[in-house]
Formats: sequence, structure tokens, C-alpha cells
Amino acid sequence: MNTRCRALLAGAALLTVALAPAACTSMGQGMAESAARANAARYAAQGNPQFSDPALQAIVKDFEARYAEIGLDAEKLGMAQGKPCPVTKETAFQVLKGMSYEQYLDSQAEVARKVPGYTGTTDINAVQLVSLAGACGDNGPEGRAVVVGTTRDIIRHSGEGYSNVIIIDNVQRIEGTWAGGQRSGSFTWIVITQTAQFKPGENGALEVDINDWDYINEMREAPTASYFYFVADDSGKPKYTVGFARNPIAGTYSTSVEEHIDGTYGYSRTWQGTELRYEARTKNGAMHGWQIIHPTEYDGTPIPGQRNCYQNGEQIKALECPST
Amino acid sequence: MVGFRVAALRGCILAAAVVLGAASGAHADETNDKNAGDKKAGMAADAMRLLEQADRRKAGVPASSAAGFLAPTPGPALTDADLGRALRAGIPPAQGIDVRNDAVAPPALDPYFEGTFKFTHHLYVGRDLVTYDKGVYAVPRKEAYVGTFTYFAQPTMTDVAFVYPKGSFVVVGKKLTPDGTAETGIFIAEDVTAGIALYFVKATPEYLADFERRHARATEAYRRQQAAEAADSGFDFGQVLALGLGAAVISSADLPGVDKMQLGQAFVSDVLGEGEGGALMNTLISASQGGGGGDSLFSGGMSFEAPGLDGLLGGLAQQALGAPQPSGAPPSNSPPSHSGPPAGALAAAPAAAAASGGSALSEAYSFSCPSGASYSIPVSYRNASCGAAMKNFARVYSCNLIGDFASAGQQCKQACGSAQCAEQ
Repeated sequence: MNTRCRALLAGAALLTVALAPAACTSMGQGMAESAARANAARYAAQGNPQFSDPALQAIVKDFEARYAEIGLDAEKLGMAQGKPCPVTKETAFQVLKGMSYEQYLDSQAEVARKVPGYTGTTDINAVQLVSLAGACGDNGPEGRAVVVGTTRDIIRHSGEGYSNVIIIDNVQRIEGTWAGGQRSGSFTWIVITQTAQFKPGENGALEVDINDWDYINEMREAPTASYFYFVADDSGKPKYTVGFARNPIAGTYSTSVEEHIDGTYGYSRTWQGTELRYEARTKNGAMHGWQIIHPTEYDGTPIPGQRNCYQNGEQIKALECPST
Repeated sequence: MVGFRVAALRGCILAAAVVLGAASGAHADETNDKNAGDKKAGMAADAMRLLEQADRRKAGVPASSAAGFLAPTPGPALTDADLGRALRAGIPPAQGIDVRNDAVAPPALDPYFEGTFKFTHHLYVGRDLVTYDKGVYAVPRKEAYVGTFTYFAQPTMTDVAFVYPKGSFVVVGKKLTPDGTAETGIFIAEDVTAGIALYFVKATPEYLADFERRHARATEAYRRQQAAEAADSGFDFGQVLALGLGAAVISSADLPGVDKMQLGQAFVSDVLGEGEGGALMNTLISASQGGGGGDSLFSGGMSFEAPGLDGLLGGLAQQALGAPQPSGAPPSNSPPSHSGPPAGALAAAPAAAAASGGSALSEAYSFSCPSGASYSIPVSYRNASCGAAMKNFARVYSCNLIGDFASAGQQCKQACGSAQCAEQ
């Protein structure tokens, strides 16, 4: 029983589904919660990975300074201090999501057709865009600019005897350069996400889904902050993509670094705290070569590592796995 | 036990802290809670409306070929009672359907096997199982694996109330996808539990050989541990080890001749050459580009209930009949040509002199089979007698001369120190 609780806590995504907590005793819940909090504290104490590469180390230092200032507080992204951009909701959506509103709805409809029980959409009325620095005209930001905006996505998972609706509110700040309505070159993107979970009530209307286990509710309501750095070289080609995701309640302290070695090959690594967790090489954006999952431990239990071979994005069982 | 108590206590203290914290701020938060509740009710109403719009949009998207690909899961399926009766009678069930459970798929899209069955002894649970023989493993809307299935028993917990045998499946055959692609190859699903969905991954011959060696070692260790006689598993691991798993499994597969020849030739090229398994991959790519077919997939002319499968297989056979056969002298690591030197002819083209320091000699070994097919296989060796054994091995396996497999393996072992001609 306790093992089941621990397994649930090991993944925040599973927790949000909230299928099994009712099966856990309160003592089991207490132990599982205790283990999860200890795990989160362990990573929190480790800090961030540090690099000998000056460019990567500069990004870590920048993130540490920004996280100390903004942290998980969406209000500190500056939405209230911004000057409204004179754009339509659709243009604001394009600026914030990097694709048009129609493209987004089509892509979600396509996913829904492929994934049984999934429906995804977005609330265009929730989109706002303000400017903190630089020019922002009819087509959105132009030249070097800083914008802040909001979006709201809605996802439903339904199946035999269950239906969960998750509303995801995003507040994001983008610092970059735009030309002709398109983003170009290096940019920084900070997004702070807050979710709310609903389920159909007796009359069919949605009502807030409150779990019997308080810790589950605490995790559902905890914001996640993601800080991304897209670094381009002098010619505008991608050089590094560095991401930091933080949710202390869920124990998320991940740092990911993708190095774009040239136009074809890449090398990506992911840390949890300062523990290197995943390594993979890519070719034309698809995994190509060994994907290495490093061993770790949870609540004193070792979790073995493994390696998987990918060739042009397809997993293959092989003894040799070239990355070229 | 002490750790258990401490952890439980910590959990209870934390839980109490959360409850106390919540109680102390209860009055002050009442108004805020009401506002938050109203706000969330508004969000929920908007969400319902937008999800209904999304449902309409989804319904308006034209259905793709994937939607009906081997869907829905057909019924009725074989039940546990059916399987039990078959085991008691000692006769495998006739062609039928076995549905496996995918926790994230609705029942109408659960994966299923349709085809013929056989018995395989499961060493670790000490009894025969009904396992798949020839047929299709379908994952509705996604993919299907058509061919000959081999089951390998793996360690299973037996000191529990319900025993769920564990094992691995190997398929030699074709992977079909909704876009009409057919890829000939070897696919493996490892460490699977009875009744649970299988996830097949393409495998190289070297991986299969290694898998088999690991499997044989584990089996032998278990047998020693049990101090039992060698079980009549219906699958002689010692023999398979001597022959090399890839070749053994390929040779037993019910595949059209051309496909089997290509896979066998690729296996031999990968094992004997110094490549990285590229020959099989090249063969598979070539096979899929060329339709990957041959005559009908199953020699018995099997007919299926799986929605649309008969049509798919028929289309593949037609496509193969219309596809041109490869011809001309192939480069190394390419599919076999059907014109070339006479049987047994050796067209050696040394690429490196076996000079001092034991450097490897590489050459393209060309030969023809009794069937008329011609091959050119790269071989690489340091020792001339091992090279001769390699060539014999290559010819025997490429030509699928099953009766000569054992002697070819023995010759390799004597000359090279390995039953697969890998120089020691």
C-alpha cells in the first residue's frame, strides 16, 4: 500500500490524475508525503548545476539572479506595470505562443483525434499582452522589446468512468528581438503556470476537484516557474537552449541544456538538482545515439539507470548505437 | 521498522501542521474563498463551452486512414477458460484472437493478437503456456506486427497469490503502419507480463544474439539452481546459442522466401563483417521502399477477422509482385542480387593485406544458392582458416541451408573460436 503511494508521488503528472489516493491509508499517505517532501528538500539543497563553459555558466548566474527576484510569483513578471500593446487577441496569441490561434486549435484537434479521451483548447478571451520595454505596435513588438502576457489553456482527459478538466493559466515574459512580427535571434522566456482541476458534478456542470488527501491539492495548486534561454550564434542559428523548471512543492528542480553542435547534431542533458539524470544526442532534432538515464534513488530506494538506443528518433535494440 | 515509525511520525506532524495552519486563517479567508469560488465557477463554465467547441472542431476534421486502422478491437476473444481447456487437452487453440490490456486505451482500442497458437514451456512457472505462433499483433490506429512469434520465458515471481508469467516476444516479419508502410525486420518486446500490452522495438541481429546469450545463461543458472533435468521447453537453448539466435529465429519464420533470404543475408553480413549492424538496416530500408513483400505473408493463406487486415496483406502481396527485383553487383551491405557468379564461386577482392600486426583482411565474398539467388557479403578476418569458415557460414545461412547450420557453426567454432565466426 505504501509503495503504491510512493509510486504516485514520484510523478506529479500522475498525482494530478488522482486515481489512487483513496486506496492509501492515512498513515501510508503521511509516509509517502514525508518521503516526497524529503526528496524535494534534497534537491532544493543541492542548488543548480555549474558549468566550465563560460556561456552556460553565465546563463546559470543570470537564472539564479532572476529566480531570486521573481521566483514563482507571477505578479513579479510585470503584467500590471506594462503598457497595453495595441494588438488583437489573435496577434497577442501569436506573439505569446509562437503560432496562430487557428493553428493552435487545429493542432489540438489533431492531437485529440490521435489520443483517445483527450481534448485540448485555449481561451482566446484570456489572452492579454503588455509591453515593458521597446516598441509594440499593431503587429506586436518590433525591434528589441520586453513583453508580458497571459494565456489560458484547457485540457480534458476522459475515459471509462472519469473525466478531469485542467485549466492552465500562464503568465509569461518574453525578452527578445522581433522583426516584421517574427521573433529572431536569442531570447529569454519566463512562464509561470498555475493549474486548477475540475470534474463534472452530479448535474453535469464542472466543479472544483478537491482530493481527500490535502497534499495532492497542495501540489495541484502549486505554481511551476520555467525559465528558458534560447541562445543564437552571430548568424542567428540556435546555439544553446537552456531551461530551468522549478516547483518546490512537487520537487521539480530540473535543468536542461541542449547544445546545438551544428545545423544537424545536438547534445542534451537534464539534471534534477545537481544530479545528472538524462543524456541524449540528437540529429535533425530527433534522438540519435544512446539515451542514458542515470541511476538515482528515492526515499532510500535505488532506481537503476538504463540506456536506450535511438536512430533518427526511433528506438532500436542494439549493442552499438552510432550518434553520427 | 524504526524507519517506518519515524517516517510515519514525520508524516503525521506534517499533516497536523497543515490542518492547524488552515484552521488559524479560516475566518480571514472566508471572503477570499467565496470570491475565488465564484471566479472558479466562471472559469469552469467557460471551459465547458470551449471544450464543446473543441469537440465540434475535432468532429469536423476529416477522418484519416489511421482512425480505422485495425480498429475496433474485434471480439470475441479467447478466454482464460478456453486457454485452460486447450492446455488440459494438449492441443493448442485453433486460430483465434487474444486481447491484451492497455491501461491508457479504451477497450475498443486495446491491442490484440490474431493468428495461430502454440505451447511453450515456461521454465520459471513450471508449466506450459499458450503463446503466439503465426499471426498479427495489432495496436489499433497505430501499427501491426505480422509474422512468426517466438516466446522466451523470463524470471517470474511465483510465491504470490496470482502468478503472472513474464517473458519476451520476438517477431520476425513485417511492421505495418497506417500510412501503408511495410517494414521487414526483427522486433522484440522484452519483460512483458501475461495479458498486458506489448511494445515492440526493432532489434539488430547482434542485439538478438546477445539477448539470447543472456537468456541462455539465466536459464542455465536457474536450472542448476533448481537441480532439475533440462526441461522439454520445445526450444533448445544450447542449439540456438550454437547457431546464433537471429539466424535460428529467421529460419523458423513463416516469411516469403525473398524476405527471409534478405534478413538471413543481412544477419550474416552483420555478424561476419566489421560493420555496426548496418546491413540489416539497409536491407530493411530497401525492403520497405521496394514494397517489402513477396508472395503472401503466410504459407497457409491465413484469413483474419482483424478489420481490414486481409486487404492490407493482399495489397502488400500485389505491390510486391509489381516491384522490380534488385539486380547488378551490389555494394557491400546491400541487398542480394539475383545475377552473379555461379554457385560457390569466390570473387575475392581483398581490401587490406593481412600483413604484420594481424590486421584484418576484408573482402566481398560472392556466391550463389541452389535457389538461384546470388549474394555478395563482406567478410573480415585475420586468420585464413577462420575466413574460410566465415564464407561457409555466410553461404549456409544466406541460402537458408538449415541442415548445414550446425556443421557451419562447428566449423566456425574450431577455426575462429566462436560459433558465429567472431574471431577470438
